[in-house]
Amino acid sequence: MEIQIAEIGNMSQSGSSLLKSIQNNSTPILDLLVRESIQNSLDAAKPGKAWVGVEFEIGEFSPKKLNSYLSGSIDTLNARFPNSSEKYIAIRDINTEGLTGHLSSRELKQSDSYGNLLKLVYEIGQSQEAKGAGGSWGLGKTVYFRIGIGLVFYYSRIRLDSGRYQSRLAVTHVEDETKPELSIIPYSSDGKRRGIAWWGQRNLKYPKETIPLTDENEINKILDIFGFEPYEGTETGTSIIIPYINEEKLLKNNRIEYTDNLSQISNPNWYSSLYEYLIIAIQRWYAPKIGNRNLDSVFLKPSVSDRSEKEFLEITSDNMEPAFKVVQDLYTIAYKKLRDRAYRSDLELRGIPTVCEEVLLNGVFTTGSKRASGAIAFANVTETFLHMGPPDNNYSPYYYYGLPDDGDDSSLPVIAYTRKPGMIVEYADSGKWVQGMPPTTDSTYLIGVFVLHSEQRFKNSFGFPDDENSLEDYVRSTENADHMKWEDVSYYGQALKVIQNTQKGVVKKVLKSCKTSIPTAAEIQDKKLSSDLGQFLLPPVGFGTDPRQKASGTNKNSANVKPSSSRGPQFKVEGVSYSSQGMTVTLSLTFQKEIKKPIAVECSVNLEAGNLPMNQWEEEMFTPFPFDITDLSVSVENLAAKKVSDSVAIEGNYKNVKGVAITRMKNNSGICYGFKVDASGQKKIRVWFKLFVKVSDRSLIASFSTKE
Amino acid sequence: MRIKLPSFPQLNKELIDTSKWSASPFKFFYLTPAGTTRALDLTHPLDDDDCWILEDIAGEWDPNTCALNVETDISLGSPSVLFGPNGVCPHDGTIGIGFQWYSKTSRQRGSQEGLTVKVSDPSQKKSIKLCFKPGQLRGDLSCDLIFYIAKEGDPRPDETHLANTSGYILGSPSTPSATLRLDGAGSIFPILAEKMGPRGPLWHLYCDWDEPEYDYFDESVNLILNLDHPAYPQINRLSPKFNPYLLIQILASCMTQVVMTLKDDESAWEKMLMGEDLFEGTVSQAVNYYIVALEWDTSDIVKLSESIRLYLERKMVYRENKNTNSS
Repeated sequence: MEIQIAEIGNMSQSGSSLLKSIQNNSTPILDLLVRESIQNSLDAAKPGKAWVGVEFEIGEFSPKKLNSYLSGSIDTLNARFPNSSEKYIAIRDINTEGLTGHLSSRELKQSDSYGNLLKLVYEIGQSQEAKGAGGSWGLGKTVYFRIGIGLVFYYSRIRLDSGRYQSRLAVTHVEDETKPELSIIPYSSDGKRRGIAWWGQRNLKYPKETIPLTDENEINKILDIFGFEPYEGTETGTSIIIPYINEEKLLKNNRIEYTDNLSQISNPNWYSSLYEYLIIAIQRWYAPKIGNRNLDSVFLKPSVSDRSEKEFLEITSDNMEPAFKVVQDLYTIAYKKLRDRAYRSDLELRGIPTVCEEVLLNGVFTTGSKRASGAIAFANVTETFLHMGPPDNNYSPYYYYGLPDDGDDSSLPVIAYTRKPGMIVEYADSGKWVQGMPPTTDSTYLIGVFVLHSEQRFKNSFGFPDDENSLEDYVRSTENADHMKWEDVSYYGQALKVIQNTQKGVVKKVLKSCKTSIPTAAEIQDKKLSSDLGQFLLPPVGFGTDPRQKASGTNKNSANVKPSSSRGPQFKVEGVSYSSQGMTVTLSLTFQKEIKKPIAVECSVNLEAGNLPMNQWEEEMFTPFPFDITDLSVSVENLAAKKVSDSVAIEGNYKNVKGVAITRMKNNSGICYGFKVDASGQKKIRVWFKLFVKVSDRSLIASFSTKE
Repeated sequence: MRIKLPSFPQLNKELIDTSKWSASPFKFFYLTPAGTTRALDLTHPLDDDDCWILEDIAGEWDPNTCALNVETDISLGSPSVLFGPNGVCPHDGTIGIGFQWYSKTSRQRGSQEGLTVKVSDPSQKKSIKLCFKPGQLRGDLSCDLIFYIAKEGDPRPDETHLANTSGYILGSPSTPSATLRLDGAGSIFPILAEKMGPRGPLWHLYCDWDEPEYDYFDESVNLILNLDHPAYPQINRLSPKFNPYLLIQILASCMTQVVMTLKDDESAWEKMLMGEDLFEGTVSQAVNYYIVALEWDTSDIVKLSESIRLYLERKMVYRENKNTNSS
């Protein structure tokens, strides 16, 4: 491949500034990698797909073979890595769009957006366009350069507008230009060092620049070095391959060292294996999304493999660690609560009571909406539930969440919080999210998940731009590039206290519930007294849930009887008798006033959710309509003269009986599901129908109705 | 206009009469956390005569913490009438009679068996029960009885038109049936009880808010009575030693403190007096109600205390007298 060394220009970032720019210096780098890469994949989900797959792969490759493609740096790399094999880590996603867009920024016109390729590989610092996506583009992606030696391979396959597929492969390298002894970029002796370079194919129009490789044969040769499977057929997606990783260094980065009460080291087993660590980290940050089909958005199918050790695991909702299953369950409870949908949680089914309440803020959101900034779902989870005893002997939840664990008898509460993408922003065991919550002392852990009400909109008087007016927009703007915390900021000139007040609200809800769950603490002793006092010491509504007064928004059951129209025809069933094949029904249609239009009498299937007429039934159920009017006889009664004509059988599709034209309604299979009655010009008559309805599914209820 | 026709014969008025079916109106009981069973009374809520609310004289009933039982005594004099070609079930099938219930607001529904009958059974009399766990129900509850095929039979040639699949519903008698409202939006005064030891005060007021226009009354104000205090029986409505006047003094003192605490915050007090845009359920809305609707005199602490006491004596003692007179 050809090399392109970045030149120094105005407002351009240097390698060292990029590497330092990610503000977070306390989170383990592997956690940052997991958060960033899965977020990117979820953001690039293909429309219409129910899930996005992300595979983390650890493997080995031959340095000599790989280096031969990195012209300009071949010798430096070979000297630095003389072994016959080195390790790589790759992240491959499935059911995503891939790195779309132009191959070079030179091709961009004024109105074009940058596209996934340019933003990820070549431009850093562009702001994210897609709503609800991870955050501002770019700075989070510097994590890839900190995993290995700064070298990152991007491989992707996309579907072009023409309908054809294109593979792309490019390499970016970012190094600290202030450390020339570690540099691999071949600067000329007086060349200014910026610390950034790319490899690809020469851009023939602008020969100083490179663009990604697009020749599949060339690309596959490089993928082969890693033993990497290319995307095929209609598959699209992105894979990021980072060679030259140092497993031990990665595992040790920024990690909490756990000690037991004898000050002996008691680190969890995943500290010694990159494969095991990734399995935990993925669950830690994405528990809400893993295999969770209860959400309206795509769910996540993550997996981890170590090719050298021949290990592979697909993480599912079922095989997650209990500490993370709790997080998913609580997330779903809160998620459903915000959408007013019922949900039977796993926790409740297993006997652990959960509490879920909306956190309401006044004076901030548009009127008419529910005032919730989000919902908090929490539970006191037992050690048994977390499988902390034999045979699993799991660690305390703090280990799984990456929080310190003093090993005390008392346990601090943990509140995890999230917004639209479903990634856990932080597990808070201290600070405003839990301030004032007492620790639990009975071998239970108070775990809560707060879900932001993303669609909530601010009131118009704040004057925020229409497409930046949602609560999601505001909260996203408060996060740093690494999305690790929420803190109120000044937003379009308004100093909002939404996050502060939400935190207070969460604490209040948890404390209130703690009070009532401890038997000796205060609880409403005499509900009748409270209810009676409520009647004369408080306004009638708004201060409780006493059934004396109806809750607003509940519909009173209106009387089911529709007043029958005395002008239109009256439709009645006069008799039904049953036989093994079906039923004989006698119906009458009475016309008092002059008839101006024909009327259709139609049979549909009566279901709880409504009535399904013939065509809808066959479309949705893929079975023939179960009611067939095989016999039909009609007679006409003159109401004034009180005379009824003889009954006439309608054998074919049409018959005129005493001036009333009857036409059978049949579908393509010949099933008769109704009939038209045209008695135009007549008045004061009653038409009698005797039908035999053949019923092919007697569990269903037939419903007859008239229509003009 | 719409007519519904099930595909097999159903229970109708004639069959109900000839089978000598009868059932008592539903009775409601709850199970206290301590394990005792108590009956609940039915009354109409203030705003709807078509549904009922459950009232507990003892004041303990709470659907979140107590199990609820629904009972009825049913009697079927001539079960055989329901079987055969003129009935609703083949001669050798089994009919079940049970409960069906649903709750619109909590989006739940269910059914429960009561009893089963065969053609040869003699007249049946039984008390059947429907049970709900604590915390299971929210919002509203509708329940009635249903007849259904409990076990299929082997239909004779003249019985092939009858329903004969277990689970098929044969109909529902129009009584008994009930629609209950379990929770609504009526106001509840936060009066709690706690064990504070015999030397602790008889009552304690928790009164804490940051922003009275935004903070909710029931989270900011709690009157807590001391279960351990020797004088507690005098403020316990259910005790023979109950003295309503003592409770009134406590309530009046508590409310005086709440109002005066708000008055200390001049700007919050002014906003509350203006009465514009007060959010429902907040401390400011409650105090505004006391001044505007209940006309308590807030000019100074002495007048305030007296106007509250007079108000409460009128309301509470009158009610107690009404109760004792009618019992």
